[in-house]
Formats: sequence, C-alpha cells, structure tokens
Amino acid sequence: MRLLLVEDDAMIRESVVRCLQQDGFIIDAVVDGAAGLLALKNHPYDLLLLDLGLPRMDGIAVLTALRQRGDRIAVLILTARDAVADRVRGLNAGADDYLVKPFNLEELVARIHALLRRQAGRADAVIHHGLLELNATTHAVQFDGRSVALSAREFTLLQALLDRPGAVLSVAQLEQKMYGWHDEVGSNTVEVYIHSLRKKLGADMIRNVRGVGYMMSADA
Amino acid sequence: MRLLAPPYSIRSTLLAWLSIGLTLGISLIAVVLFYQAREEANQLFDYQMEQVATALPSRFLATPSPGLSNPFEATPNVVIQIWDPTGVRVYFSHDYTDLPQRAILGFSTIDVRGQQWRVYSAQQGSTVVQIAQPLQVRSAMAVRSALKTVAPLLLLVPFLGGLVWIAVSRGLAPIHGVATQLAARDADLLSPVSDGDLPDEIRPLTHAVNDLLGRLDRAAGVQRIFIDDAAHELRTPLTALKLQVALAERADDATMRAEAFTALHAGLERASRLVQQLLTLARHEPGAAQQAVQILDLAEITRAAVADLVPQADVRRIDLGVTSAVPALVHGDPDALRILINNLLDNALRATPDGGRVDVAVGCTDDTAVLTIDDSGPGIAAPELARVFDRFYRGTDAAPGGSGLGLAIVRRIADLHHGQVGLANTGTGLRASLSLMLVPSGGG
Repeated sequence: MRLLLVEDDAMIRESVVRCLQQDGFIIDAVVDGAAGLLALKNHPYDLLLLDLGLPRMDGIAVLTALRQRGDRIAVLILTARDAVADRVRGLNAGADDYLVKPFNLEELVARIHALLRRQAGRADAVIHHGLLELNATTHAVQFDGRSVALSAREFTLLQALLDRPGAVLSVAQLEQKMYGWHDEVGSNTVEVYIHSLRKKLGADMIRNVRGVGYMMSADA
Repeated sequence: MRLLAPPYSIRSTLLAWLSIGLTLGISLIAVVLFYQAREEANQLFDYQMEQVATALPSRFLATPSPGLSNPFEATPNVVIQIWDPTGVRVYFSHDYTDLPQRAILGFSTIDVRGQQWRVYSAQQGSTVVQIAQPLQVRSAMAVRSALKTVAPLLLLVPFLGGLVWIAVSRGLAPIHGVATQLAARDADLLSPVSDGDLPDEIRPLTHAVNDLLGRLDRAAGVQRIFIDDAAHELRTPLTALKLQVALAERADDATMRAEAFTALHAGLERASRLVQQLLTLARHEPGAAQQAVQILDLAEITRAAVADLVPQADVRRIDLGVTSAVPALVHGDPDALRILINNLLDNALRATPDGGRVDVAVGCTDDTAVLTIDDSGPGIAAPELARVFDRFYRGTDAAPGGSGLGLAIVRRIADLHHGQVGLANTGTGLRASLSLMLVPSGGG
C-alpha cells in the first residue's frame, strides 16, 4: 500500500515515514500542500495523510482542491487543531478520518488499515481468495491452511493484486504500488517478485496476460 | 489610610450631622426667643410699674400703712416705697434698705449687691413713689417662655432621624442589588455591571468597576489566546517525541537504536526550547513584574551575546563577528536585552548557510542607539516580513526547529523598552535592527 504524507514539521515527517516503512507501507512525504497536490496527480496513492497547518497552502485547501478535481483517495487528517469545529470542517471538506496530534503510532496504523479496508470495500482485515488468506493488518499470509513467509515487497505485490482480483495490472502500475520515490527499481524487479510468489503459492495463483500484465487467477 | 479613616456608615454619619445641626439650630432659636421674650417682658413690666405708680397714691396716700396688700402680689419681688415731701418713708412693701432711699425720677436700672434692679420713681402730688423689681425675675420668665416654645421642636430630632434612616436605606438599596449581582458571578464572567437604577452618587464607582472589568476581560482574553496557542504549539514537538519513542522501542539493532535516540534527543531539545521560550514570553507579558531597569551599554551586551554564540557558529563554519561597536548608553533590563539580542543572533545563524557570515554592529544617531545584525541567508519574502513577529508564526522557508516564538519575544522586549525592531532584506541576506533611545548626555 502506497501512502503520501504531507507534513511541514521535519521531525514528525521523518518519524512517521520511518515508522510506517517499518510497518510495510510504501510512503512518500512532502512538505507543503502544492507539492502534495502535484505528487497525488502523478502517482497512484492509496491514502493521503494530511496535516492542516501547512505553509503556502492550507490542508483544507489541499483537500478541497483534491475533491474538486474528482480524486477519491482516502484522506486521514493529522493535525494539532482539536476543536470540534475544526474536525467538522475537515470532515466536511472531504476527509475520511481525523486524528489529533499528539497521536499514538498504533492508532495511526490501525486507522490507516481501517481506511484502506473500507476503500477496498471490505470490513474484514482478512482477504480471502480461494485457498489464500491474507491479513492486511498483521501481514500474515496463509495458503491452504499453512502460513507462508513473504517479504515486505512480496506482500505489497500480492496485496496490490488481491485489491482488484479481476483486473489486469501492468508492470508499471505494480511498480508504482511497490516503490516510493527514494526506492531504486531495478529492471525486471516485478517479474522477480512474481516468480518468487508463484514459487511460494503455486504457479497457478498469478496469471500472466501476455503484453498487458498480471492478475489473480479467478478460480485459484 | 485605614487608621486615619476607620470604616464608617453613611447612615450614622448623616444621623450624627443631623442631630448636631438640629440641636445647634434649636439652641439658636431658643436664644433668639429668650431675647425677644425678655424684651417683651421688660416693656410689659415697665408699663405695669408705671400704671401702678400712677394708680397708687390715690388709694395709698389717704391711709398709708405697711399692712396694705401689695398690688404686685402676683409678681414676686416687687418692692414699693413711698416718701412724704419731707423725705420720710411712709410706706414700704418689703424692708429692702439696700434700695436707694431717694431715687431719680423715671426709669433706671441699678446694681444692688450684685443684683440688677429695675426701678421706677414718680412724683405723685407731694409724695414720691418708687417701684423696684429684680431683673432676674424678668429673665427667668423669658427663659421659661423661650423653653416652652422650643421644647416641641426637639421632637423633630427623632422624627427627622427616622426619616433619614428610611431615606438612606431606600437610597442605598440598589447597591445591595449590585453586590448580590457581583457575588453571584462566576469568576470568568467579566461583563459590565448594570447601573440603570443606581443613584448618581454611586455611578462613578460602578463606572470605574465596569472599566476595570473591561480591562480584566481583555487581559484574560489575551491570556486565553496565549494558552490556546501555547498548548497547540506544544502538540507538534510532543507528536514528534511520541513517534521517536515508538521508533526507539521498535529498534532491533544497536544502529537503529542509536539513530532513534539521536532523533529523540533532538525532539526533547526542541520541546525544552519551546517551553523555555514560552516562559520567557510569559515573563515579558504586559503586566508581568518589571525587572530592574538600569543604564547599560548596548555595545557591551551585544559583544557578550556574540561571544556566547561563537562556538555554535564555529560548528557550522559561520563567520560571526562585531564589525563596529560604539558605546551606546540606554535604559534597559540587561537580562531581557540579552535575550532579545540572542534571539536575533540565533535567527541570523539559523538562516545563514554553513560557511556563511553574520555581521553585528552597534551605532548611534543623535538620540538613538542602533543595533544591526546582517546575515547571509536567503532573506524573508516581503509579504511575510510583517507576520514573522506574530506569535507562533513560522515563515514558509524558515529553518527547521524554530518555535515561532523567538521574534515575538524580541518584539515584546523591544516594546517594553520603547524600542523598535525591524527586518529588511538587504539583497545579500536579512538585516535585523533594534533602535533604543539613548540616555540623554549628562542625564545620568
């Protein structure tokens, strides 16, 4: 899951990025609203973590602009403004959730997972696909009743494919889901991870649509 | 003050003045009445004496004898004496030998053994009739008459006293209303007291109270905003700290733990700095206790502040120095001015890139000492120049780690010293300047 953080405070920005990376998220961070809007235009993010007190362009303005241009990305506001009026304004401007600073890391992660679940149209943290079970919160994966150890990248790739089980995702789309700006992407990397996933879960699990990309097998 | 003016009651003061006034007034009336009554008694008795003297001889002189009844019996102490032409006293009603044996004809007032007598003598045929009466009798009558008239007036004292009592109670009743209204208030309710039904005499007091309440309300408002802002600003470093602690807890190996602790240390440093600056700001709030103001040399304080920051500048290879400093005597609080200069220098160092330069100078114009600090940083965008002095305002391109309070403190201290602070882009960086009034020469 790829997230974007818009936060002007360097310490908070660095800490959130580091913590969420440890939790297996792909996360990019920008300092101000304008940069945030630009990043959201050019990359497919699953969720936006938005501070309200931003230089140049206020968080609410970013949110309003985002919703006006039809972007339906899940937005979690992270702010020090705790007045009820502020929360209401944030939610009315199109935010999905509102977390007041100082927050607990566990709560932030739990809310991110909850928002991502809802966005994928699920209420349960566990995604079922045939014999495959994937827990988005604990990152535990089971296949045919036995647990499978996956690396963070493999998990991200599998989750991206499972999010839209019937759709074919191109290599470029998958790369964007798997890597942040600062990650080096080698050639054939997606293919390498697909290969290792097939080894762990069986060759039939992921189908290759030649010249287009990959998708989960419907009958696996 | 309390010793000189003990607590007193309007009611008892009014009652005391009323009693004294009425008593004096009634006494004055009594004195006037006494004189009037005595005047009347004199006229009356003189006339009577004349009448008696004229009437006597026809009855008395035929058979004058001491046993005859005294026509003045009703009036005590009237003495009648009659002499025949040879000078022999043929009649006397009382044997007052002290009275003159031969008298001047007509009325006279004489002194007999310390007592004033009114004497009337008349020639009746061949005899001389003398009628005498002590004046004391007439005075006693006048006194009785005056007292009789005045006595009812004394009833006025309790009557008017009662009226005053009621009038004062009724007049002051609205004050109890205001007192109840004030006593029933919550501590945070500082709206004005209504004075619609108060007497004019009390209104200056309620106006003053309302004025004070207004000022308190404004001051409380400023404080509330400050506390709101402060609490809000503390959230940011606290959020960072919480995340940094979480990172430290999760660290699996020594390198990650060391990194996490370095970040945590920086976070604590920043939070402490913010708290310190909030304290500094609160200490220089208007109304806070004023520090001792003394005459000091701005150049000297500047040099000391620069010396303090040289190690910090050296770490980043910034050339920090004083280019010129002439002695400039100003009135000021040395600690506060030190904080002011330190904050300006700190900002200059933050804005200046590694290897840059910060120049400090102290100069004087006619009546003003001017401190300037030039950095070689990027400057501040013109629209933001005015706003950077606002509390908690951080410039768009501000260096990280600032609390947004440094310049607010600078301006607050400058205001307390009736000085001016300014920021201006020089093209090669930012110039911060502080102007303070010089101590007039010979004036200290």
